[in-house]
Amino acid sequence: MSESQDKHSQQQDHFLRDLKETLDASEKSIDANTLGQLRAARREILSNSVRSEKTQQVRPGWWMPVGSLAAVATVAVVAVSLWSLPPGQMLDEQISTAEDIAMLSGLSLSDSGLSGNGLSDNSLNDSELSDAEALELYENLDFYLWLDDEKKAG
Amino acid sequence: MRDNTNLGTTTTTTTTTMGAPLANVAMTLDQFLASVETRAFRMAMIATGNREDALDIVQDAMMRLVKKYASRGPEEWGPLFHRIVQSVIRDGYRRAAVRNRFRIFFGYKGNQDESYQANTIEDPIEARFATADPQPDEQLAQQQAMQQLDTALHHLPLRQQQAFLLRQWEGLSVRETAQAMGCGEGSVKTHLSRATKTLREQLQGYAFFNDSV
Repeated sequence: MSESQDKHSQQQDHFLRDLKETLDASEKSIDANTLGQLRAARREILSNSVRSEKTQQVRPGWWMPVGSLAAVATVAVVAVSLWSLPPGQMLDEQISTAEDIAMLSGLSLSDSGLSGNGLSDNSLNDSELSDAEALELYENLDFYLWLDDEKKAG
Repeated sequence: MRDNTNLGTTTTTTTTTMGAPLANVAMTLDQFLASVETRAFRMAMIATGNREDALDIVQDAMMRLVKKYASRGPEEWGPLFHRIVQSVIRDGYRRAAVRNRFRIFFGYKGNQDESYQANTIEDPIEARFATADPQPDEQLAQQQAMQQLDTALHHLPLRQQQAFLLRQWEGLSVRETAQAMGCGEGSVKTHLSRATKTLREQLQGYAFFNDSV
């Protein structure tokens, strides 16, 4: 390398070093207000990030497998008990519900179309009595009471 | 490039995600961002010439890094952050260019210098005189040098400015600079050479740099 080239290279290095030092100094001379704003922005970004990360994370605790097993067991027990129940038993329960309603409303079982041992001959049979009908009877209770009074009076 | 090796020692267990030891990662990220935010702000300030824009750029870059790359290893954050900052600056330039085209098209006669490239840098010397705060000669000379350098860098084409700041100031290698700028290594060398030549020409009239120029 010639002497002039060497000198030029040295000058270049010196020049670049000066620029770098000036830039370093300019970084240090950033005012406190700006530094505060940068710090506040950084803190806010990080705290938001941590917060959103926490809400997204559902940490599996000890109760999760236990709870799942309990839920599965409950569903299985209900399904098996419903499946193994004889059809007549379900009907009996519905009828006893209807009997309760009739008793509460002051109607005799024969008036309400129900016989003491389960079904009346003329109005109800195994397939007809349903929850909907029992509900209907209950909803029209006033009418049946009026009908009963009329019958007693007449 | 600034030494961020101290970050690695505290985070050997947190190279997975924010989900792992959450507080550790957040703390490491906080340290990392604190170490790079001022320089990023200066770079953005030189590029935009506007303090508020520069603050927005740094905030945007920090947010993108935390959102998308927190799960990466801390050793990757440096190059990624530079890349994001330069990308946000470029986006700002593009938006400003489009805005200017519209203004010219519609014959907007307002402040024509209101672009990203506009010379809106506050004059620190004027500000000092305005506050009537007497400064020692050396400090004043350095203030002037900063101002001259800021102006010269600000008026460089963006790619030359980025190449110069990343390579000469931040100390990135040619390869890292190319990655941050999203261009080839040959382009980096060309931009850097042109930037250095222009800066020498522009600053040779100023006493502070006269010794070396």
